[in-house]
Amino acid sequence: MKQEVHTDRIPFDTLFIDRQEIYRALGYRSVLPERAFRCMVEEVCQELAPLCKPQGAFRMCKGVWLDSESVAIEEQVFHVGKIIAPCLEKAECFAVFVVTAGAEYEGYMEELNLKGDLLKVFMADAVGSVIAEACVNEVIRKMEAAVPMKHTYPYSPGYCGWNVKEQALLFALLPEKTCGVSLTDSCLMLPIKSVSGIIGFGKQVEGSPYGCAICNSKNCYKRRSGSFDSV
Amino acid sequence: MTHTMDLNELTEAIVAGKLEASQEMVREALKVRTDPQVLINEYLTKGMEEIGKRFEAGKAFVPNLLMSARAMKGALEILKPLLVDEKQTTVGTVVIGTVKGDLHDIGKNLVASMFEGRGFKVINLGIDVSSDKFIAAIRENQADILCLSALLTTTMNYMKEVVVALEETGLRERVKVMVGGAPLSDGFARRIGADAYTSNANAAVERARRLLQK
Repeated sequence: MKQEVHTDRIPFDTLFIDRQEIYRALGYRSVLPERAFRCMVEEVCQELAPLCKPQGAFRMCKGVWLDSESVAIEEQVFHVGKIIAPCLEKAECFAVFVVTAGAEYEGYMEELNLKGDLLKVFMADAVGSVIAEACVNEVIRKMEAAVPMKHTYPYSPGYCGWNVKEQALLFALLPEKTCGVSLTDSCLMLPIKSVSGIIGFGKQVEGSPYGCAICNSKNCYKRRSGSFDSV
Repeated sequence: MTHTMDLNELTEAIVAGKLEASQEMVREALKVRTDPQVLINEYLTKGMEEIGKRFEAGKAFVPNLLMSARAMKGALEILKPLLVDEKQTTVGTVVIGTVKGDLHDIGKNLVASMFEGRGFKVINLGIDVSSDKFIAAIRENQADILCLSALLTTTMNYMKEVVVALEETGLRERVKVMVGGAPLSDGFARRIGADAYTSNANAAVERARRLLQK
């Protein structure tokens, strides 16, 4: 199995920036935002298009499912918890990945902050979250092209009961500053709009439901509920 | 046009988050010698209360709150210099910040903006704030409320250190402690000895007002 890190710039225009996900991040769970706010979202997306330089990287690693709460990836034990571990039970190997909306996005946010336009900052923050998630989808597409096996959903430290402190263990499996992403002592990724995680690959793995369908955490800010009315 | 009609429209402008219209109406009202205090208490605050109610009912959203808070702040900027005693219009003083080790600031800034819009004086210390800095700001500004924000499970425990620091410096009885952030809960707030946890900016302001009434 190849062990090298696959790193790529992800052209902004290839990303699917799901507007409904942005609206959800803005707090709209069952209705669409007013037209003026939707226009602001479009304005942010247009301003980011020429600036934003997202990146993604993944590395295929040997690994095994250990028990109902943990897996081992390259002999490093990850206590992914009771919610995630069962989803990885049939994995034969793992992809460790990191993606980021990039430093240029951070620069854009800094400029907005300096202008003091909190509404636009709020909108751009939601757009940044969706850009990062879209990058995950792009990296998964690249994994699918490279690894001819079925795979699980991506799982990340900090969600579904997986302690965020294990982010440091995960980063140890990647070269330092992969995609320019670093980790603070509190396990916060910089740039902030970055996502890291693992995906299980195997002939028998099943695409388990999305995280919220298997996790009951009521306090998770990513919790999904409701659907949008039709436009 | 009638005076009453204009002032009700001021309330509506705040609800709709119309900054320029709100400021224009305030200036017009002042021209006919309307008491600034009356404008604030009976019309502007009413607008903010209304948008808050709509938010709690799911009929308004965070962007609406931000627009209204911005309109309110703009109107207050015109009125405050005209007040005999500005302190009389300040509901309370809030020191707010994201705790040490955490760099998330958007949610915390939303809360700060809502506090300002509802007549609080806000000292926003930013991100990655140490307990020493919180303590110094509380002392310097004689704060009534301390708001602590964290978005990570690794950083939220620092809130307990801040509460302990308040106790050690004899400030705990003087200031109400409110906490917020994605991984937090009521139970966490109780465990660390905070006075309240709220899950959104509007609820934070409402809770703060109730805490200060006690």
